[in-house]
Amino acid sequence: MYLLAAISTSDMAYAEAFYGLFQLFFCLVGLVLMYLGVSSYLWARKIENIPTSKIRSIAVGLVEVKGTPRPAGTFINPISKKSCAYYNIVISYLPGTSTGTRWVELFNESSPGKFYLEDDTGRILVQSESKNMGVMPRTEFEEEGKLSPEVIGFLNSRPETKKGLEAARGKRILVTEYCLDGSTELYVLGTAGQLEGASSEVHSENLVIRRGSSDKTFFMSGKSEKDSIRNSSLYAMVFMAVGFFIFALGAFFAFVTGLAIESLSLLSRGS
Amino acid sequence: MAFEVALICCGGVFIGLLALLVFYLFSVYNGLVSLRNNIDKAWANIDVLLKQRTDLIPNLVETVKGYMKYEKQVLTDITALRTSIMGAQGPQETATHSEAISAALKTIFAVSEKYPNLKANENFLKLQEQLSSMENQIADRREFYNDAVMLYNTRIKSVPDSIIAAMFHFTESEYFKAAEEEKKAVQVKMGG
Repeated sequence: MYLLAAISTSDMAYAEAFYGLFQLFFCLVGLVLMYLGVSSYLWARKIENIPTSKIRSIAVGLVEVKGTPRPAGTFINPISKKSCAYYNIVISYLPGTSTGTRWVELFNESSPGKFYLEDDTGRILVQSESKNMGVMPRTEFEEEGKLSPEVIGFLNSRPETKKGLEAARGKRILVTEYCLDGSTELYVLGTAGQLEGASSEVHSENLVIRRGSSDKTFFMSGKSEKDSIRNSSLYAMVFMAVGFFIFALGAFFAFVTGLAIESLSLLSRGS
Repeated sequence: MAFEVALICCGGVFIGLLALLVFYLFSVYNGLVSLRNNIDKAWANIDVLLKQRTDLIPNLVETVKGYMKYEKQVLTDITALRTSIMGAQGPQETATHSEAISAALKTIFAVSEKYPNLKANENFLKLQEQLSSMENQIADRREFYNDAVMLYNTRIKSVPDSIIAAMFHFTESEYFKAAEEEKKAVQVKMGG
């Protein structure tokens, strides 16, 4: 259709530029997808190549451990009152239709990101980051008009929410609680290093797992190692196959349109 | 012109495929290097514990020899094993001697039950605790090391990694596991 439009204007230079950009776009998308596929493939290999350490005898450096999270202190989720190794509470409201239908965040609170990971041999401190916390089970509940006493009590204890609550008055409010508790079996990949100021007789309690300064890897998952590898390998295959297909499609378009444009220019010269 | 465009397009796809293949071969090679490095690191982590344990043996012998007058053979055995592990070559030989040391230590700790004065010695208790903790750590790190070796040995034998492994002389690694014949030989030597 566009080709016909371009022909009708007889502007070959315009058509060439247009299709050049079109093909370039295809090729770039293909390359980006292939890059994502390659990254996923390398990631799967990285997880696969590192054996799991026992916490008791963990060595300094890049390590992979599996265990159950335990609180490094007393962290009681302020709304549900559950004890969590790590919690995050997000309160959002739905503004009026004139401003759209996306939830607007009103309040976000997390406990400190440190918790213990425990296996059958010992425990070790993990310094996580909020972006790794997608592995936490979450509880969501919506409140409309009248808020529950638990939520009111919680919000009253956080005076900074007062202004935001005025805006959310009468609107739908979504309360999301994330709680990392002992029911989640965690897989952690990170760098074990010396814990500042620690002097325990238990070797693993002098260490902490976090994002390393040289190796920046830090990954946490509620899935098993096998599932993580399988997912990453699957993404890798899909991204690489689709990326290559789109890249080849771009090249094919370039070929076909090149032929078409050249035939048209020959025709126009002939006439 | 059409021929040139076709050539460029086919060339593009061919170069893309070639780049993917080259990348794959590089990643296989790098993966094997990283697996081999994992083994070296795991070995270094065992070695450091074995050395620490070896260093504690003279202290243990010194502490118990005054009490265990009738168990001289066990003390002589463990001293001999300490010397032999220091000269051991490779994981398998080291594992044979390490297992013999572990067994000798177990014997010493079992025999110590007969000597209440020794059991009350604070230095002995501390050494016993340290050595027991080290034994556990050695067992864990041995498992880790053997996992690393298994991953590597499996990869260098699987196609297509085996082709790259053969090209770049990636050879099979030894497990940290005593060979049965060597184990028996050490036991016979220590026993009599």
